[in-house]
Amino acid sequence: MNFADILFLFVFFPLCVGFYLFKKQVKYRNAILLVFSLIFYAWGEPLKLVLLLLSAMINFLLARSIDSNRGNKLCKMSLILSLIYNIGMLGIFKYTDFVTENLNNLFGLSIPAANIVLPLGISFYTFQIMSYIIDVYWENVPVQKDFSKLLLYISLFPQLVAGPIVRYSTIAEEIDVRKTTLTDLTEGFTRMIVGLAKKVILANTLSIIATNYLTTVAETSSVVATWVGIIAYSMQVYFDFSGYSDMAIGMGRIFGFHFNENFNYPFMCRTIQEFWQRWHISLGSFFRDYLLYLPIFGKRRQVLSLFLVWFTTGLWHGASWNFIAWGLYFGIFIFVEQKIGKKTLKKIPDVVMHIYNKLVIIIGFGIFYYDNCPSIGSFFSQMGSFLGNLFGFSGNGFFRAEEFTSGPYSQTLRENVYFMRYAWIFVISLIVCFPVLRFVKDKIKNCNMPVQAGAQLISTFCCIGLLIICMIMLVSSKNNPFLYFRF
Amino acid sequence: MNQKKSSVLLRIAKVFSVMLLLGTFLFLFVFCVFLPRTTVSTYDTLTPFPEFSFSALADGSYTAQLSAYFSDTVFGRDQIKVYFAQLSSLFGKETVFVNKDGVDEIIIGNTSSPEDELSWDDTSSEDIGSIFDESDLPDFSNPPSIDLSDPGSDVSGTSSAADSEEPSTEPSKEPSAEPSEEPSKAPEESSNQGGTLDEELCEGIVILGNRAIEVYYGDPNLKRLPRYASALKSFADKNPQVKVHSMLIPKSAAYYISGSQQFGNLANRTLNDTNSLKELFGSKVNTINIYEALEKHKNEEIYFRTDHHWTALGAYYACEQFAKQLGLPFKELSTYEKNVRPGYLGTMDNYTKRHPNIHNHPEDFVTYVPKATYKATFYDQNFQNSFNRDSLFFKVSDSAVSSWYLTFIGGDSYSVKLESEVCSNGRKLLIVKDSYGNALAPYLLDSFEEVYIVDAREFKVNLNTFVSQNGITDVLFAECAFSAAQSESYINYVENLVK
Repeated sequence: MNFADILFLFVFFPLCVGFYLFKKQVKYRNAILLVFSLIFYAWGEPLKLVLLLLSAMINFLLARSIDSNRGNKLCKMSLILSLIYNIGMLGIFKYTDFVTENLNNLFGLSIPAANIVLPLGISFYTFQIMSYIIDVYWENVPVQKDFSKLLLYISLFPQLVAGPIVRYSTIAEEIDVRKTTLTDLTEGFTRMIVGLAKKVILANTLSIIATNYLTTVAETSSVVATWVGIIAYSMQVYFDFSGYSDMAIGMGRIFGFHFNENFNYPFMCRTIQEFWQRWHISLGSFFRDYLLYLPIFGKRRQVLSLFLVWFTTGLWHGASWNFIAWGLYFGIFIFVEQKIGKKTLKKIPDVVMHIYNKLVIIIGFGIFYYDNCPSIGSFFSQMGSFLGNLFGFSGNGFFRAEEFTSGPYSQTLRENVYFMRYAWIFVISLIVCFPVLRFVKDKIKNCNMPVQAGAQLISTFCCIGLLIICMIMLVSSKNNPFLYFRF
Repeated sequence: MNQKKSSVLLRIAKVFSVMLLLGTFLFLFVFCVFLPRTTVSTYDTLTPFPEFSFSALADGSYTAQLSAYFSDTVFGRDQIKVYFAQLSSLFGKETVFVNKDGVDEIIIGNTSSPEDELSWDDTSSEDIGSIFDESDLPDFSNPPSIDLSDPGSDVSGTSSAADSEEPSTEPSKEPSAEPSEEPSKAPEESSNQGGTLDEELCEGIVILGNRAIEVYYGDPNLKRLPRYASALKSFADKNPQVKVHSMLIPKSAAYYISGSQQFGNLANRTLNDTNSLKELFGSKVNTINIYEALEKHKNEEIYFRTDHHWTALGAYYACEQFAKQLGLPFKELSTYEKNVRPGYLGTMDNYTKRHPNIHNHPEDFVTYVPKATYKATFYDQNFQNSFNRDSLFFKVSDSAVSSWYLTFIGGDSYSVKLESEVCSNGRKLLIVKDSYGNALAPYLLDSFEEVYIVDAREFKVNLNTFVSQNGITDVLFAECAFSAAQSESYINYVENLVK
């Protein structure tokens, strides 16, 4: 089931909230959430639900084994078994065909593709399970002795299929004791609706621009068109993914859970390191906490661990060379920034730093975009064409206000007309990319109570308006998958 | 005290907010679940309710289709789409994605696959049965396919319009109508000759006043017309006993696009193509010059404003010219019974995304019913299975308003044989057509003893065989200019039929 789906938004979710609020005791509420979560997952992947349940059960038992065998070999063995199982499952389901394809290309083999369908959300829930197991091993969290509670943590539908990667430690206590306050409800609903609007109104519209200038007419896009296309795509990915995270955090809040933030206005960053402290925070912190400090590279660990993290970050996003290149690309800039040092970086003027990091980020999204490359060669070819267009080496001109024939379908288009149509979405998106709304919210917080009460009501009416606009747009468009569903 | 009061005020605001939000979700829950579901859309093919099977459940297709069905059939879906269109129109000018001379396809909108958007076809074979208010249409076993690449085909290009096994012997139900004698004048805003109209460009379609016009580029470089001409000439060579005629039917752009600032320079393209074709035919194929005949009547309603087809009136004038050139008898329009069905919003309503200039200005759908008596036999595309009707007009459902053009011979799904009971001159006419030709059906019963109508894109029988087997004396190729001048696929169909 998809968050941006009429059935989910106006049937599944209201029913779940209705049942949930109807019952007061946590054990019933947990049962309601568990049933709805399993239905949510089974709706999209009925058979893969077995895989989810199996993973939950195996890791539940292994965590118990870790806990009950502390001080002896079985403890470590249980951890290793769990890691092998989880990484193995992820590897089999996500990377088998990728490995096969590359072996075939490299050695001229003809191993048939297994054509394994990636189970929904496996990258997210596997990482959640691993975080739980490792935290139990490190004694950061107590072992969960009730399987249904662990299953609830793993399968909790707000964050099940596209994150954020919620640590067990974040919600361990709230699984047992929690209540939904009035503020939780107002802020939860608001957050959820804002997330939906980010996806349906902004991301879906931006995708039209991005697809047009980066794919449909990529061969002949002018410099301006390519920049508009890639900026649109960068914002699309941001709104799509952060919109989902907002919805997840908002729904969690309605059910009394307080998930950590997953995005913190990433385009506000001054350095690439800071960008990754603001973008997909739950993934970055997972790698930082569980991979970066593993003592597997000895003294060389700093450099090698760093590149391992960025290789893995790229690979996690998908079984494609462009994602690996994307991860390593950021790894290089972070490595260089670390070598330069924070003190030196601080001395560089802000303007220079912002131009530098936006350029790196935008080109990074170019790498991220071309994910349909059958070989490394075709990836470099597409990137070459993209960079040529971006920096004006492809001879397509700076900007085309006149009609020109273009693209694989020999259409004629005029870029200025296209820009005119979507200028509004660009302006709104740029505003929402930066913390304007947070600024307003903070200002209101400092006002007196009547102003806050008025703002609360205005905010509610705005949310209802946005919800209705989203509904109209959802009825009018047939397909609204979230980008991060595929990860 | 004040602090406490303020705090209470904030709490009340929050309680009120929560109630409003919960109430909104409750309302939308009731709206989506308990209000009647939309069963027919005038704009899209609705996802049907999925058939249950364990395999479909296991692979997720059942639930996926259930979700799609639920979204598709929400109460008031079409009206919601209109709201969306109005919402979209707030945000600046529409995109122009059009092709220029010599390119194959018109790109509508920003699709990456033009074939997806080029279909003027709103309705799939699954739900076409619900378009007709007639439950007794047969289900021919080999329904024709849909050509998605040809804007010349419309909803009438869809496959079998059928949901019943038995042929009908019942008299047909004519479109509800109020008789009228004279053709009405086109509204002034539609004549658009002054160049002062509020012109808007919308997805490759020009909207002038309340008229939507497809941009027509034609074939000025003669890339396709020679192929089309060769096909007809070769057919004429193979069938010397048959007189072959060609009627290139202009699209509305021929007469109405001159008012466009952007595309006014293309207004003469149809005339140029007509002349080119005449030259290419030489003496082998008789050109029916309807361009000038229609031009004389361009201030009448000869083309729909909200649909890409011509009207029954336009088709009448074309047939008049045809009969005149052949020296055959032809009845005055006043001898026909005029039926008017108000509220028509054709294909352009959808393709301009319910643009207010179009959507808020529906027009009359007019048919002229001949007083001449005749027998109509409807065949499948192999010309084997058949059923009889007393009328060549079909009653299209009120709810399928964009599909009313199916009124003429039920669209392209059938091959039709009309046997006139008022003409016995021994002339037998075969009309090979696209959807434009459907509107010609009522007017030639006084001129020919038998009239056969087949769709070039659907018909499966070789035309050389067909004309000899049925004693055809005249063959009229009647298709819109786009089909002959711009559509490779249509020319392919014609070539296949005559080879």
